[in-house]
Amino acid sequence: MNFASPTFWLFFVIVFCMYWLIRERRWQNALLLLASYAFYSWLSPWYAALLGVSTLADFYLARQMSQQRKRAKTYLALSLLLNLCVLGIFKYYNFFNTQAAEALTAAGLSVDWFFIKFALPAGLSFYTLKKLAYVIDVSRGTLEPSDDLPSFALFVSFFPQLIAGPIDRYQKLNPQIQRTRRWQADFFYAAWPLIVMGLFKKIVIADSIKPLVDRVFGLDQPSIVLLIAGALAFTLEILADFSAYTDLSRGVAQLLGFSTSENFNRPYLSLTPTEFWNRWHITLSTWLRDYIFFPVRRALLRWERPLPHWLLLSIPPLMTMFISGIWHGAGLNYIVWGLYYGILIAGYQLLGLRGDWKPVSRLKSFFAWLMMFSFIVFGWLIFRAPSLAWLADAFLHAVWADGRDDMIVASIVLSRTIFYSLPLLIKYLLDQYIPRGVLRPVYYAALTIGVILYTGAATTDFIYFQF
Amino acid sequence: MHEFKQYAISLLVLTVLVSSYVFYRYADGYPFPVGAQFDPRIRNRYEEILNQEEPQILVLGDSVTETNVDEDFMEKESGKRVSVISESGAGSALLYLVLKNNIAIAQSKPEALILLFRDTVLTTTAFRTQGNFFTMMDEYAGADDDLVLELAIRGRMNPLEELAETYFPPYWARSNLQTLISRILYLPTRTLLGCNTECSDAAMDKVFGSQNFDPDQFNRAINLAENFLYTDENLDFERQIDRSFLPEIIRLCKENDIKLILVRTKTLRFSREVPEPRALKEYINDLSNYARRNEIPLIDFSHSERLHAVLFTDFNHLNEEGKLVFTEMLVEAIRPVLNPE
Repeated sequence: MNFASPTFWLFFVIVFCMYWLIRERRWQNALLLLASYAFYSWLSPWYAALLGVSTLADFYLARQMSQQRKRAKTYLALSLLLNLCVLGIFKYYNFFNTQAAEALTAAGLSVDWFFIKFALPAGLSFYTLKKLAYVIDVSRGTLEPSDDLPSFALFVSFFPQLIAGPIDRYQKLNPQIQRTRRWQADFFYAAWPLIVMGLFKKIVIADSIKPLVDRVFGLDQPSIVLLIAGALAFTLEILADFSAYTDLSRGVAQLLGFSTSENFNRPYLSLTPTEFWNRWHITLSTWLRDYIFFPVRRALLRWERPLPHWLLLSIPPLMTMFISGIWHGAGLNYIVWGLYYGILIAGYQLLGLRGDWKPVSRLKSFFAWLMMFSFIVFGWLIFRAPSLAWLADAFLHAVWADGRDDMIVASIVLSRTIFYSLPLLIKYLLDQYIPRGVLRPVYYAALTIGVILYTGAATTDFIYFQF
Repeated sequence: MHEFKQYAISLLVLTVLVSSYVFYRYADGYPFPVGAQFDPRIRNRYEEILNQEEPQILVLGDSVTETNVDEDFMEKESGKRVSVISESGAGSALLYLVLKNNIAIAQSKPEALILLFRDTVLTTTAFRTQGNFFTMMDEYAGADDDLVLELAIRGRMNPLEELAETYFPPYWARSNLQTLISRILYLPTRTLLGCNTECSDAAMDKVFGSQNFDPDQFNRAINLAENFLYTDENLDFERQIDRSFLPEIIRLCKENDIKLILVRTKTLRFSREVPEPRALKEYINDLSNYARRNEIPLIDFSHSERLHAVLFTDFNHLNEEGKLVFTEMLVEAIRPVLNPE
């Protein structure tokens, strides 16, 4: 049941009607909590059970932290251990399992017992980060722990955000959970553009580009020209897919009277890697900044022996992005992708090009953008490649183009990528230069027609479900 | 609110414009018929082959049939004339259409029809019926094949979809309009490289041919595409059988005095690491009982030790060596069925 499926909308209409018919906040919250668990149980009842147990554990541990300040660190350690173990077991078990199994097989040993597979519960990585932010803030004393279990459980399981974020903090959601909510037409007026845009980006853009991307990255040894075309197509696909989910999530939350965080702010217009991460998956970036980057930097600054300046600039982004890579998936290419951004951020910062850097002339801005965009596309190439060996093989042995057919296919992939990115470009131009007037509604109406025409053409899950 | 009003009016205007184009270009009447319609022309390629070759045994199935069955070897081993019809990508709807509109009307009908299938293919009616698969089906379907449309297309629609299909022109004509858009998308390639739609399609087929795929990823793609065969709904035999083409396939064979033999092929989808789900075992058990009740022999090679993993080129298809092994097994298995004495 994803946000682009008719089943979800049927589910949502029922929840929506019941929710606004109930006028008592406590019952509204109870209904949302029930709906969230029903939504998650739809995927698997076991996922909902895991969510429930881990929510209870963190609720209890956070309360203990507050009541026994002296032992706060112990409770924090317990919570970290619990959350990271659960994440590790479900997310990384198969990865290490496969590596270990391969080693054992190579040694001629039986590997049968290794193959008890754990399936990764969708959304685990997202709600784990939500809970971790909460317990860390409570342990730091910057947040009072919740004494209202249903509200806390709703914060963790709020169904518009459960599967793929945004990773909102307790400080943002809880005041809204506690607030009395009455239906206002403004909720709808804020929601409809998000929902139209989200459906268009998913059904028309992402699902149209995906088959081409899958084919290019499924080839045994693609030529360089195909690899470039495929990487550009994936650059569009992942933005459309993930930002579509966020738009739909925010639109649905808005219809329930909740304002949730933006996750994307034109990331491909960034001039530096730091700026890119300030614009891409913003709620994850701020989480990593607050709970990894800053603590690491503070620890380095407090180091007994002062570290050289270049190390102070390099270690925090490298560590942060390494963790970001691991968070994204259990595979060496995710780790390398994370480190790649760590190196880029450190490199730019060592050159004095921080996140707020702006070149003086337009020409310089253009070249700075072109360079950063190329880095982004290359990053997605690492991210999407089936394996690092595949990518290395492609670079070491592939020819520029294996005949005229390759050029034809590359031009098909590129023309489709350009065609499907046009609506995003038009949106940018409208937002930038004509924020008011009739053109915006006409634009959204055209998108709606696009959604109608492409409905049922292909239905696939959102990419970020896997993380 | 003002912006939403403007949006609603713009949407109405655009809907009227698109609908007008649909009426002008595609529609014959209103309300529209629900679901895509078949072209009345029927391709009779296999009817001609049957009349020419006059086989005693006909083997029918998807691409697995071509990679698993060696026609000459089978002919030699069985001592009977054998023909093989392999329709790459065929689901049960296409197999039914080939049987109904080609095999059953041929002057020379086979004595036995061996139908190769994988797991739940025979009762998963909607499997491989959309997009290009619909075009493949259309080749062998005629104007009177409403049953296929009903079971494979309309049967899958929810009431809202049916309403939209019947009364809302942009939705009804969406596949035509998508084709129009995709033609526009070929324009840059035509302009820059002088390659028209056919040339572009040929290049796509060549570059993305299965031989160019990374085997692991190819298997993963097959697995993903075939997940539909293993949904809870499709693993429920009792629920699917009356909505499937299998009863019709059996009826057609009986009416035309063709002995139907069902053969379940082996897939590497399941292994020690990913064991066959219990629901699939129950499904096969129900299918066996159903076949027995209808006096249809069912031969199950899905767990055959002789078809070792090294004989496969991917999860479903066998290599040349495997082809001989499978054909030999098939001849051995059908011998007592065809010669009961």
